[in-house]
Amino acid sequence: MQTLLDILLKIRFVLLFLLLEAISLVLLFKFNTMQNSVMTTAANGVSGWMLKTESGVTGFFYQGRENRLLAEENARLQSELFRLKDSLYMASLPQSGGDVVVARVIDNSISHDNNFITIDRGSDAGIDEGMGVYSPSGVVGVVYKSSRHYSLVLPLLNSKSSVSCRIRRLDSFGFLEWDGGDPAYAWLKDLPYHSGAQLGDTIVTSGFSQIFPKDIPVGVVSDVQTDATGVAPVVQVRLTVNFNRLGFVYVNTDTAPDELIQLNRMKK
Amino acid sequence: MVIDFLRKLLIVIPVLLLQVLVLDRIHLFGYATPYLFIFLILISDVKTNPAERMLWAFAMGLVTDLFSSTPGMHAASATLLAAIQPWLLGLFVSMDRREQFVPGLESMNSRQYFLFLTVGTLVHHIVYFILKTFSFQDWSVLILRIGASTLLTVVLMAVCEYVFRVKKRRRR
Repeated sequence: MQTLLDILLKIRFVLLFLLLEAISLVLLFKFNTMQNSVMTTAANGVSGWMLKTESGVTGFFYQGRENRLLAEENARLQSELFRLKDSLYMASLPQSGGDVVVARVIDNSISHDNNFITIDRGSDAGIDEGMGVYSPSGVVGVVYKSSRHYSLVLPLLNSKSSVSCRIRRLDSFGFLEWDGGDPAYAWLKDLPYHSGAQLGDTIVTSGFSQIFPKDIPVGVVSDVQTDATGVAPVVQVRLTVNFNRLGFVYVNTDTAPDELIQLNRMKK
Repeated sequence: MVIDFLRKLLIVIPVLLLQVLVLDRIHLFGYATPYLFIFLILISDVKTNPAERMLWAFAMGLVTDLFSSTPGMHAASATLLAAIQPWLLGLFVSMDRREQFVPGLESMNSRQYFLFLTVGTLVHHIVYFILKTFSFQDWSVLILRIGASTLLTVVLMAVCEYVFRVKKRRRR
């Protein structure tokens, strides 16, 4: 025992050296991205924290001017992108394109049971309650309330939302609803019995209510089940719109004639 | 002891600030980046407890790592340099490790001294750049980097030597 202690005492500097080097190398292999690709594991949280701390400290000295330049450039590119995407979309629009208003999403949520989206256009731009809102990838929702410059949109991800849809292959109709939970999936209900929906079928808008133009994409069938009675089919739909990343949307201001709206109201 | 620690801290902090805020961002000709903070390791007193020297080097390396997002690389190479510093110095000058001996122009002749600085820097830079690149595929670039950076570091060390250490001595 005594000899062991003597030996340990004698090589204590070597041990310390090895310990420090071991710590360094653990840090090296754990945190660094380049070395991570050579080794295996990742510690993204820590390296992210380190980078944030670093940019927080050094940014104080360096990045003020760069940030401003980047923000300016970003705004310039963004407006250009909007303009280009807009013209691209207008060109591909199935109907006459004049009755679409482009709006930017300024607030959005997907985590509640009743989510809402706020867009930066309102009644001054011709937006009114009940108008359809969609993005290039598909249906987003329906305008719920609008002030002069802003509108509140009831997205598909709201338990009050109900949109008339059609299974394109079969021409059978139903209502798309959402019961909370995963923001990527909704349910198509009130389908005719024996509708024969299959996985992969495309769901599009029906065009009945004239809220949306006909054949705007909504989603793809990802599961077919039956409701509580065990007879009526209920279809799970994977939505085409990624509500997480809504940048800008189109509002369909080409609504039904007042006469039809009046008639529809009488139904309720 | 505490006073001594604080006095060292008073030198270490400005040097580290200079390193992480200015020198780390220099990429002269795309290859040369000076790592001046190892100067403090190289000119440490030989009599210093090896554990103390290694811990200082490790801490300085770690701080530099933290700011240049190169975790562990500086810490590893600086600790290694601290561990071999007395032995390395023994190659160039005969001295007794139990007695105080601070490497510098005062205690050594300039040829010995700068050769010592160059070899020490070279060793550190070789280890550091190998850890940083972590491959020998681009070995010509690696060698160029090590050579250019060593040159720049040693030049900066010489500047520091004449500006801070020689002047101080004359004032005395």
